[in-house]
Amino acid sequence: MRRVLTYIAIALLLTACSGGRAYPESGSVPAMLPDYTDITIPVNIAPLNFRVEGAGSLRLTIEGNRQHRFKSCGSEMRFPMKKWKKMLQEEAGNTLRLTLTARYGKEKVSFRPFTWEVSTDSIDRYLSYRLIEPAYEVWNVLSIEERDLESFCTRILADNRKTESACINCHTANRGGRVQTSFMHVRGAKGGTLYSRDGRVRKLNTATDSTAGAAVYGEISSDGRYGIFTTADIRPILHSGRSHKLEVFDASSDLILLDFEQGTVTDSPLVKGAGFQETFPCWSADGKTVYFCRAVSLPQPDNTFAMHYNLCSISFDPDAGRLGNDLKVVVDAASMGKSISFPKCSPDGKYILMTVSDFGTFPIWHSETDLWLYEIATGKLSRLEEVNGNYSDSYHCWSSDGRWICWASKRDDRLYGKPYFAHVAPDGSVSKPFVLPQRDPEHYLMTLKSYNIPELYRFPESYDAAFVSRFYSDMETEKMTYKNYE
Amino acid sequence: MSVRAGRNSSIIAVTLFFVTMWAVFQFVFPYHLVLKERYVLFMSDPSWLASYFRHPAPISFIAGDWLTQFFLIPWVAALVTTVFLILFWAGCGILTALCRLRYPALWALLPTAILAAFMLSPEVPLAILVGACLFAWLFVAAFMIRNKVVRYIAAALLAVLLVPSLRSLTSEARVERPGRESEYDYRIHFKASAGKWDTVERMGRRNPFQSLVTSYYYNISQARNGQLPDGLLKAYQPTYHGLFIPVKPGVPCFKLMASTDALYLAGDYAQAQHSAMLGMTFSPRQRSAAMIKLMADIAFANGDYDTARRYLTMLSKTALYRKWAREGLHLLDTDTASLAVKNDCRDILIQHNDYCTALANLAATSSDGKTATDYLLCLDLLDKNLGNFRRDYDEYYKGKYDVVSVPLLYQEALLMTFDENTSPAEQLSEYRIARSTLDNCTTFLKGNESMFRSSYWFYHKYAQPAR
Repeated sequence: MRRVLTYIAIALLLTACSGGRAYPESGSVPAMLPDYTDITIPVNIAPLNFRVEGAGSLRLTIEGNRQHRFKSCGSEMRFPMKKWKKMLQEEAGNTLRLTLTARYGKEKVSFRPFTWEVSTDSIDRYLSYRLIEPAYEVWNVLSIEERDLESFCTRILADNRKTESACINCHTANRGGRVQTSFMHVRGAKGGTLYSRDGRVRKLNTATDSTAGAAVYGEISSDGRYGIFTTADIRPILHSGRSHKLEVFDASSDLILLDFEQGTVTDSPLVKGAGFQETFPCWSADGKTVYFCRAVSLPQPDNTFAMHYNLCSISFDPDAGRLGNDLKVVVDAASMGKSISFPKCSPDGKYILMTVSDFGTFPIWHSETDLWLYEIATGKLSRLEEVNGNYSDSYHCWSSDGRWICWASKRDDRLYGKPYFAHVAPDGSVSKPFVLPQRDPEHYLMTLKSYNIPELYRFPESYDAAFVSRFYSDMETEKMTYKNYE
Repeated sequence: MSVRAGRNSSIIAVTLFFVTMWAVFQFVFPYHLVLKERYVLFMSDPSWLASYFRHPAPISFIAGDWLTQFFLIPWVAALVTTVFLILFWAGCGILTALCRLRYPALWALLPTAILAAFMLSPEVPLAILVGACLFAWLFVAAFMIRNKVVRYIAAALLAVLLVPSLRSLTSEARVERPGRESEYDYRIHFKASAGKWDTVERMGRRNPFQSLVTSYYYNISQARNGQLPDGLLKAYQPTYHGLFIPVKPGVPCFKLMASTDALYLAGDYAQAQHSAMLGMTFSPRQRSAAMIKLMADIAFANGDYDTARRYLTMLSKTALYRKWAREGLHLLDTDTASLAVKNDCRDILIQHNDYCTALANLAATSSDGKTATDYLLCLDLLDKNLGNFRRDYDEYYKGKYDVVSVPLLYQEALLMTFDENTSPAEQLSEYRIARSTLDNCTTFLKGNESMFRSSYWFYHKYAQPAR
């Protein structure tokens, strides 16, 4: 009898321990790092590896056309590349429902399910960015990297340790052009503007005796022939308060037009001179309009807080290679007490994405800096509340099909920029942003570099850091000549 | 010389060499080694460790950086360096013995001595020594292989590995000659970091090398107690250069890092953060746990809790700053409301190193501007700019901080600014100047200057521009 009771007790204990027990619901979305909850992702993006702090193991169930299960022993979920790619291909166009279960010691927690919308709009495969310490205006070691967004592979395009510590910046491609063309400035005594077209690289000296200096911020037209740039006398200055870190102002700035075919630099009386400051020019999708930022020139730095840049436009005749006479104010930011920087036209010609801050021309250290979207046809201005973070969101770009935007956001810690992406629907609505995925989900917590000036493009660059080193030291410079405005 | 006598001589020479080396590390230049800690950030984190493998010589850097964290304790620095030198010497000794050289132990001392000299450069990482040991012993292991072909292949492979590793190990380091003056500077810097302000004050008063950095830390030791004007002329002052260390191209990394301390104390958090960031950016490998800690401190003071959290998360994975960082994170998680934001000054734009404008702004608009005001007035005085002193005193000090008493330094300087056309008694009363100060001034003017070597009058008459 005693033995029977013992067996019964053991049986009861065993049944009590197995199954039937509901795991506690946390009731909230998981505190995953990075935050990849409820986002829209491109069908060709690299695995969105993430981490759940303190978790001993993770199980993820993804439900779409079929169920996909992933598990990990530890706090990190690193997706196998093949399985990930297969899943995205199978689920293209679907909204996936994700259920994450984490084990904390002996306890299991099922988090509130979240979604991933797998967009059929592929994102441009390559992203370049500059890696630099956020030491404001000076640098020691910096590099420009090219990242394959379909994997975690990176390649160094330029490294200033191989160019006598010269500053390297502004790697920019011609969005939407049939033949990929790009430029990058390599400063320093032996530097020049690297102009790459269809694999052929030229070293250009864009400074002329008749213009205020070499090309700085700008863009290449989609056919790659023209470049519209600013010549700015850029000066950094510190804040002595707690709201901002650094201010950068232009003592003067004008626009110049580069014809890469003819090797000429020209300008227009409407976009140069002491009365106004003109900066951050960009092309419209059809290449027939130049948008840029313009403010009444005031003595600097005494009036830096009073500098408010409007969004303006001027027509351009691509056949004659000539800026027009019809300068217009497109967005009067000054009247709103705001200042516009970095306008970028969408490749479909419908929108202009820009950064808006309280004042000045260099908003990357302004906490209040946000991305705003301007609809060209209607003049509607959207503040993109769903996209902007607590701190600076700036240095944005469009993908070549205009369905994705990428920008540098300091939303997490105010200091370090990281590339964020968001999907732009044809109606202009923008999805919740997500950060560039890394193989190691803790990557951004451990790096001391800021991701600066992210740029999307379709084909890998034809050069690398070793080439840029030779470009700097040995390559002959083509001097561009000034052509009078007629 | 017999073999035995030769061996005995070698043993004596080698023992003497290493005892001397240890004594030099421990007693003559300990802070040259301790300073290496400032140029290291080692986090016990898989992704951080993985980042080492993107560069040559990862094992050397991992081992070297891990050990360098503990260099904050001077005897650890001396001991670890000496032990690795002995290991390197032993490896070299075996290699020279294998080459059948006479007195291999003595020959092996030659590269060891060169390496020891290099190690006295603060920017030369311990990883160089670790790497050298590793290669010496790997070569020993390779030469022990019996099969001749395999032996030569192994040695050749090691030689191929050696070149990029050496390049990586030595590329970022700036070699500098050790010196007593720099040792004194490094020592006072670490004493200040450790909060040993009595020692800092004592060292500052001595300042045997009339060093700018020593004066700088002496002034900080005075300012943190609100005693800057009282103590200013009781120690050597390289005119106004001892108040702040300017941040400009060519300034050594150590000075960039040190420049943060006075700015932070004066409440200029924007410039302090800038200096700390530059200190880290221009460190040999653009990393420094000490600067990250400082930036976390500044972020706390500024109310930048997101920035503070980022830095604290990094520091929570280090060996020496872990406890401090976890306490900070706990505070952020539980009670940010109780953290007082110290910085409430008006936002203005200033040029780099424009201390006067920044200090005047802090003096005028910060609720806690006493230190900044003292720094501003002392800057005017050390610059012998009495006009600016009187203007700044009237604007920022008078009626605000002179209620209880006026520091003697200010009294002496104010006397020099008095208007000849206004009644002296009226001015003495208005500026709360003691009768004795006026009497002393009269005595000084009568030629009894030596009695007043610590007075502002003496400084104003005789101080020369700093070397």
